[in-house]
Amino acid sequence: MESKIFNYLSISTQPGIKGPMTGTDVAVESNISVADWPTDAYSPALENYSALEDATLVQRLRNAGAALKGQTYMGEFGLGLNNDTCGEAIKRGLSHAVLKIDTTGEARMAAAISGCFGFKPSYGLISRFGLIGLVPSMESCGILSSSLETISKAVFSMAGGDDTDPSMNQSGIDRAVEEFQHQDKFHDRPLTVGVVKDCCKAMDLNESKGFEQAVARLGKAGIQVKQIDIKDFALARTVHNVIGTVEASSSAGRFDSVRYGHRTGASVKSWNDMYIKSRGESFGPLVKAYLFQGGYFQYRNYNAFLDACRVRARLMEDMEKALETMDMILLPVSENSGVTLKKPDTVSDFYDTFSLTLIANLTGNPSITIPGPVRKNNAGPALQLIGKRFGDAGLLALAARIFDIHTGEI
Amino acid sequence: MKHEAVIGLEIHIQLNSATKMFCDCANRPGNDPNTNICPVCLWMPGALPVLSREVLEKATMTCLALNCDIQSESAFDQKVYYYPDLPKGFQLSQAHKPLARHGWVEIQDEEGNPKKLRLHHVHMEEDVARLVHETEGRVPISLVDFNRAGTPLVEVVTEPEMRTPYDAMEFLKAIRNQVRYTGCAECSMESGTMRCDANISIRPAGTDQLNTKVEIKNMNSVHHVGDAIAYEIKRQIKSVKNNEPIVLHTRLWDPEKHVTTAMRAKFEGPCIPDPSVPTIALTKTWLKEMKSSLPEMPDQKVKRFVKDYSLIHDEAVLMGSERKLSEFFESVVKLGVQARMAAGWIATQFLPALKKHGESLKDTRITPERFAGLIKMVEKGDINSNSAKSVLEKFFNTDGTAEQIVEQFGFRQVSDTDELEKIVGKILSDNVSAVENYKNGNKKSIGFLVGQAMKASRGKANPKLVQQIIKNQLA
Repeated sequence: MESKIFNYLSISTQPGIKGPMTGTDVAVESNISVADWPTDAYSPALENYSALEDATLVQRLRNAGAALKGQTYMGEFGLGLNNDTCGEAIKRGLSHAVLKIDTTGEARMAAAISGCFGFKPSYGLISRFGLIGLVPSMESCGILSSSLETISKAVFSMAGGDDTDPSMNQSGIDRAVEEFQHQDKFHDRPLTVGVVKDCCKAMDLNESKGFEQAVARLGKAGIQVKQIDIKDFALARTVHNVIGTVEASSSAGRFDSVRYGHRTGASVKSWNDMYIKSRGESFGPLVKAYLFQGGYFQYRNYNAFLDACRVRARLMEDMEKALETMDMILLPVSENSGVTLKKPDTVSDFYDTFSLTLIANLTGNPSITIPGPVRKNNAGPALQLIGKRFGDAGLLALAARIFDIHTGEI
Repeated sequence: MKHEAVIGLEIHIQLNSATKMFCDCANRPGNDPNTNICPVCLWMPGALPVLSREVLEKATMTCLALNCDIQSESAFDQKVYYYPDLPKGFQLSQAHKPLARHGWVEIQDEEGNPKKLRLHHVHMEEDVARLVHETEGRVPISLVDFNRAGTPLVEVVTEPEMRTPYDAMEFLKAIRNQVRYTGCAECSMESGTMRCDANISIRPAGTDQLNTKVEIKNMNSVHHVGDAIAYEIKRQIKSVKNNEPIVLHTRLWDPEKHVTTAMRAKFEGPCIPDPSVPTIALTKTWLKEMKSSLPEMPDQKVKRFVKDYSLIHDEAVLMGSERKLSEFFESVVKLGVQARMAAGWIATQFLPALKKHGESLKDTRITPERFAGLIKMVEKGDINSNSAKSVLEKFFNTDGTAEQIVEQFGFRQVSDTDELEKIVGKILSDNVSAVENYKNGNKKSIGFLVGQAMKASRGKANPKLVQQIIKNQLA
């Protein structure tokens, strides 16, 4: 059974270090570096590549006593949820937590579908050194678990400055770490939750109804619900698409098939020919389409990229402003009930799946999905919360309260 | 129709920081191939670039030395291109937000008039790996040495304001002098720590149009730059006269054949902001600190040398032209040597001797103390200038003081009148015809007699005294 869930299983899972994570199994995906483990991001472009050293966050989990279980299956470079087994690993109790890079909402969506919690920390809280992603400015190490306490402990263990990652934010980290030590102050204070105007516009009728009911339940439980207007909310998907593909196109440049990864067996006339054939044989259709789009914006439509960067900056400002007057923002996880683990055929299909989760990746805010009553392969009943930047501890504490209300325990 | 050239230069200067730009590897590209490498500069998956503080400081000092406006905010971009010397597919450079804008250096034009040449901007970028092509064997092989990958460069981009190869060469020398002064870079075109590409176009003299330019590369000395530009201007004028269009492309200078040859179409890849290296925000306090740690620059130094040491302008310019030289000069003066005397001896004797021995101020065993000791003996009349030159020569092979060498080799000047009178007496009786000439009014022959007396004293006689004694005896 385990071999269907795990692509690689660790031989020895005992770390031998006593700490807050002792007794907790953590699985990763093969784009998170664990020294000497096969680390191919499920792409022939990294065929037979083994990580040279642990990602900083892996090292920190080890130091906190966690046992590294192995690797769950994933889609090529984590683009889309095709082939994923991270949620299954949690559902079947094969690991206490799974780490999954969250660039568009992957970790949170996978959790929502399988009925557990999925958390994406603030950008700059946990080191990205050793993560093999495609979109550096959007990716964070996400965590799936059925226990919020496990997620809190894992985030607290992994958080902290790292000289090898220049995108860390030290003052934010200090604030976040401080808040983790006072998580109980969030337990019974009055709450205000914001709901984005028009966020249900494109949703299935069923889904939007479900979301409205969830909002109503929160109101009844004494939580103040406010409508907020984030002007460019509808543009977020396009902005992510433009910036994400551009960054991916550059990031994938290093997969040159020279020092590692698949190299073409065809006869070649020159090094350039070798690059083209090797890369052509390595990347799957979705990755290719994604990189092509990035190439288009880089070479042919740079202005669209500049516009996207401007809108992103505005979105970040609006999000921060909105969160000044409330504890968190509440969003559905998905626009349609059809979200499944099926393979997206086009970039557009891919973005259909993540249209409501990607905003937190654009703005760098922490975000968590909390499961509703489980339906098979359906994210519909789950809710998504977005917290203040570096307010990760508070968001996790509040998620427990919202979960209780949402699942009818209060 | 008369044509004029429009010349702009792009100069890459390798900074001498201890580490590479984005990792802790040693910044020593010349070591054994692939010894100064790590996952960051090899761009292995998962590695992230972290900008070195020292590199930022040295780049800033360089920009300050070139009178630039340092930008309070600058950022790195990815210059996208695929080539085996760049295995991540993009070079980290500053295309949109350079570290510094504007700036200028002053040169003297061909008529000797001061002329300010303006810079467009100065930015930081990482160097790429070095390719070594082995074409001897049956199958040609290209080897990649990553020691150079990620070493720190600043690129100086000028306004297209130069008109002649002379301007360009003077400009390069001026840039080199200014930047060397800061101690942040070696700036040697011969060893590749300074590289220059030239962009050249031509137009009817006196117009202000900017025509299609041609880029030339591969010049390994300031003279090559001058020669290559001169050749390219002629080539373009000839093309235009033959009604051949000028196309945008890159040409290589062939220093053996003295021609430029077409290499490839000029390539301009996209540049997009790098998402990993944070934006650089410089505070006013930090900039102030940088400015105050900038050494005294040549133009200030020249003014001070003229004012404090009463040097004439040209002497001050020479003594201030290089930082090590100016420091040597000042040390000698501080040890009690009269300033103009020190400048004169350094310029006419010491520097040529250094050159002859293939040494530089950095590696010579001649310290300011030894040199000052020597000149002081000349000032006091203990030795004459001929002997001083001999002592200077001996300095290159021993570590003794001037005093010691003078005693050891018997260079002390003979100023003992009795002894000199004896020598002069003998010379006068041995050279009757010269004495006759002198008495008949040919005053020049006294020079010959002094020479003979010096020779007889084996160069040690005080020449002024000898002349006086001869005059007295023949009076």
